[in-house]
Amino acid sequence: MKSTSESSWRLGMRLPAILLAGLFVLACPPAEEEMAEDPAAVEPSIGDERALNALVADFMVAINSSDADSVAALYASDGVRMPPDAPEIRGREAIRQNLQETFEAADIEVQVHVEETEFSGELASVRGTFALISVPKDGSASAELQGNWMRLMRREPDGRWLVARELWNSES
Amino acid sequence: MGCREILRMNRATVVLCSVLVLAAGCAAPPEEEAPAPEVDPVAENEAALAELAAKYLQAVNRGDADGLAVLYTEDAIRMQTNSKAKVGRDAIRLFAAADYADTNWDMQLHVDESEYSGDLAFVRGTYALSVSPKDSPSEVYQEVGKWMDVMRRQEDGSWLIAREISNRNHPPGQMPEMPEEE
Repeated sequence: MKSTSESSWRLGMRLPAILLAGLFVLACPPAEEEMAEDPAAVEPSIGDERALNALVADFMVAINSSDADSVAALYASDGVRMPPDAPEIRGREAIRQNLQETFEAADIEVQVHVEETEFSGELASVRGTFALISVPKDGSASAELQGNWMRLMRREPDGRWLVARELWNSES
Repeated sequence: MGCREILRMNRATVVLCSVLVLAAGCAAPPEEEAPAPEVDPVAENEAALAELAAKYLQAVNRGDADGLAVLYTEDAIRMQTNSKAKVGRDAIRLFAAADYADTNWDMQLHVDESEYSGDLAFVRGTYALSVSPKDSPSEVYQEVGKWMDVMRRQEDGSWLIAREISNRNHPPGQMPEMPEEE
């Protein structure tokens, strides 16, 4: 959060530029085509921040209730999931099938923590930690895993944020 | 240079150009001005990225922890597979130096895709790694895996690694199929 004094200073510096740019626009013939938007100039809204947090909450609920359809729905249609000790899984349908197989073999209980989010236009990089317990349905010993994860999120044309790329690993 | 191009410039330049153009009353048609040099930003980014990947490989394969660390931002976070996250360039350098002190690394890197937005690049790819103890070079450990980086463009136009995460493609103890040396 920027301090008020800094904000007013910045606005103070900006005003002449804005006014001059405004005059300049009035003085010039209109552009033939729309100005290309600098993607980084699109400020994320509180809604974007909220949507990304909601997605992480939805992800945990869906994993913990072994709901492959709901987990897969959080990925872009061309999303790539990169799990540890296995090759990458490409596309929402392949991700759904892989989750289905995982849930048929074991119950998973996961806790996901978000450490940081950085927005850049229609993309956002999100990073955090997780801890999970996998309890195999065949009665074999359960496994615990803790580690780091990173996601590349993409804002879809309808405004929804989905997981485009995801990679996680074990810290031990 | 057209009006739109001028509007895309930074504030200070906009102020200056606005004054200049207002004074000139937009009289000069854009065609008569010297054309801006053709720079393809995507090609420029790809070239800078390829250079970074080459430096990275060179540092790892020479066991040069200093050369590796300078490719990361001061506040970078490196999340290598099966180890705790290293926070900051100094931590990255220290842990790499410890790795390289008693092992030789032979790494291959492949960039699968990259996407740019503002001053960030999202890049991912695969790696193949052979590690052997310096005092027992025939004891080779091999691993293939995948990685994902967030890179940040610096003021001088170069790119540095801000966040990096990687993992293996196979369970521990399983001998992977190594790609052909390029």
